[in-house]
Amino acid sequence: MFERNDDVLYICYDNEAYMNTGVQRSSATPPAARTATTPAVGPHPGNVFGTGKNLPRIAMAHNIPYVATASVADLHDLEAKVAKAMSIRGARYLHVMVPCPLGWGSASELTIHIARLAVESGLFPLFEAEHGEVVAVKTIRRKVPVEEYLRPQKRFAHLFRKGAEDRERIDAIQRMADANIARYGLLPAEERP
Amino acid sequence: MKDAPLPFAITLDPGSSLQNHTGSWRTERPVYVDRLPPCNNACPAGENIQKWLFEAEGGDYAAAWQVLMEDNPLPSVMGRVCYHSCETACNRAQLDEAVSIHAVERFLGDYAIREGLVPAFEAEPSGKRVLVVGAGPSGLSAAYHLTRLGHSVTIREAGPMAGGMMRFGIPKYRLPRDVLDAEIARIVAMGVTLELDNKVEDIEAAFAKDGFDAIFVAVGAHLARRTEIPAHAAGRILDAVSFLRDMELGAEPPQLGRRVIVYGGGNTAMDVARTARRLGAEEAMIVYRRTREQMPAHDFEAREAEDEGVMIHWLRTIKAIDETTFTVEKMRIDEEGRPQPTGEFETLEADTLVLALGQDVDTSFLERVPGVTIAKDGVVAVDGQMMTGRAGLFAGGDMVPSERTVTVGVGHGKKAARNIDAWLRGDRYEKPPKPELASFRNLNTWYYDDAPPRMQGQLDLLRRQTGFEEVEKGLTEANALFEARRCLSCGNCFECDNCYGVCPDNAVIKLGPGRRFRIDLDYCKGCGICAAECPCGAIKMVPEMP
Repeated sequence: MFERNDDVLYICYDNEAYMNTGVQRSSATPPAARTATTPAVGPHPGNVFGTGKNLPRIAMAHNIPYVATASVADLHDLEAKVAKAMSIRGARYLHVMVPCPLGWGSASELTIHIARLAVESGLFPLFEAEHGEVVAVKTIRRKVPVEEYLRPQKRFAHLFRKGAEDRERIDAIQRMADANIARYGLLPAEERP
Repeated sequence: MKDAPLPFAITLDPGSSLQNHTGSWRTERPVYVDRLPPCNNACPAGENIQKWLFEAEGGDYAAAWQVLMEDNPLPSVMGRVCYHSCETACNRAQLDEAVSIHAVERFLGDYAIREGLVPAFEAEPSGKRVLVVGAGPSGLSAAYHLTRLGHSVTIREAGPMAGGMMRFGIPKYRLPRDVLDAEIARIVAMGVTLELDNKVEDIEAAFAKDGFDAIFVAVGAHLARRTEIPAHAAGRILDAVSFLRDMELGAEPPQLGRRVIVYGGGNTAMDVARTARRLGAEEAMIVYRRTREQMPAHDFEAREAEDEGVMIHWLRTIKAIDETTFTVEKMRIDEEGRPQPTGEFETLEADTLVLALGQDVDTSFLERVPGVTIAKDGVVAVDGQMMTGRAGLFAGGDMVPSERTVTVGVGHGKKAARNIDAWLRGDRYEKPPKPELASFRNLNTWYYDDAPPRMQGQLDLLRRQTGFEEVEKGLTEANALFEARRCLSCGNCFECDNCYGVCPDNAVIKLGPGRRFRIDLDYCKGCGICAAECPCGAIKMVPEMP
């Protein structure tokens, strides 16, 4: 569909695992996250450390007219991106991050809050791309360390075991966030890590 | 005939979560609440600050002013002289800086004076007559509120002008007199009879002969406290109350000489020293026996006094005076926080000493009234209804035990009016119960824009040292509007639609502008997102009863 530039608006809700069938790991599951198929046991509990499958960038690689990421934490931004996507002809891709309270092991009332922390930590960058090039980003307003995003989620609880904190892998996740911040310019130059 | 084959890719009808009656999953339900904003809670005059800021945010200044006037008849005065405990309590202070409530209040007050607005109220004449003794902030406030409640009010003021300590205590550079005159005139224009130069000596006669149904006394605290200082040949000694009074009434300003010492550490001491600078005193000094932290004056007053060149000698007492030579003793603060003499002395030179050591109440006219109790510190005892031991005789303001500020006085006037009104109807005023406080913890500040406060300008320093022009400048309309919009609306829905937007079950129903929202309990599964994401803390989750 992308390579033929079919006139389709593809909206992907990303909750980072196969949630409806019982929380099995997917290629969108983040490193170290516990799922039913990546239990928090063994020397490296949770999902394997990798880059994951970055769908927005795969879509961008097709040079389609419009690719954007959005989050339930910013409904005005989401609305604007849907409106914009609907005004364009050709293949369009919108990737929306939606936390799953059950699969992530977080309190249901914190759903929006956690989605916001994903954006504010830099782990989920909000951007728009046209014809394969990033044309706009939503900058981070109140930067938080990834720890603040990971801690309220039970799927990452094994990283924060009392007396056995997995500093190495928390730091690695922080580096992923910092790489996003650098790649998309999510902070003003003087505030970048 | 054969059915047309289905297309390769089919389009489904749009659906929503309303396909499932998720309400049956619920163990908690969201409830819209109105919490008490901390500003309203802190206001001694009981203003509904948040409500008038809300009206002002929409640019309807007249409506905002009418809300303000429901509680406070003197907004223009209050916006200038109130020590704004509302701003200390303001939740926005924990985010960036407090909303400059006093500056918006002043803007609204000045707007109303400029536009000639009059308070809107409807009241059936009660046929009752109430006497108010004293035309200070309490008396004026009581007269105003009693008029709003339908009673006929007469104010008897011993002095030649109304305003009390707002005129005879607060200098012009903090409260220009045209502002004060305009707000007093507006109260009189509502039908209040104001009798100046009419000192009430006999309360019982006012009940019996003049036929008043109730009396509210608020004569203030005008007797200056003195202290014994051994003086061989005393120079000129004045007291702060007479000095500030003479500033208003005297044909010429009091003669102070080149060097002035003010003795005391309250706001009055600061006022006197700053006035002395403006009258041309080259050296205006304050001598105070405790430290800066312990002074009763507000810190900004001391700071502004120092800016204007007032020298403050902390931890000093005056021990002796010989013409222009003052012997002062250094003090130290002991473990209990009390100043103790050190036996070390120094001398200061001054032409005039002004004593600003506090004020007492002249209660002599009440001593003959049966039932009235004078507390041991010379103030009049009142009950929770502000009534003295004499039925129908109420008291308030500086003459009853309380903090002595204009705002507290205005609050006393309102409280007394409500109680007098109830008493006249053979009833008892019951204060409505306070809703729970809207604390910073209840807010989700993510949704508020970053907005640093708008500053009020100040008169330049040279003009502050040489004349009585107002020091603080007002806000422009644009700045007042910006400042009003900085209000977080703590604890009270302002219809931002956030709950409507974040609800995953389409269970929030809009009821239209001004009518807020309703929860559709068939679909609300009690996830709590609306409450967590409500910016102002106007939604509360409560457990479902089994």
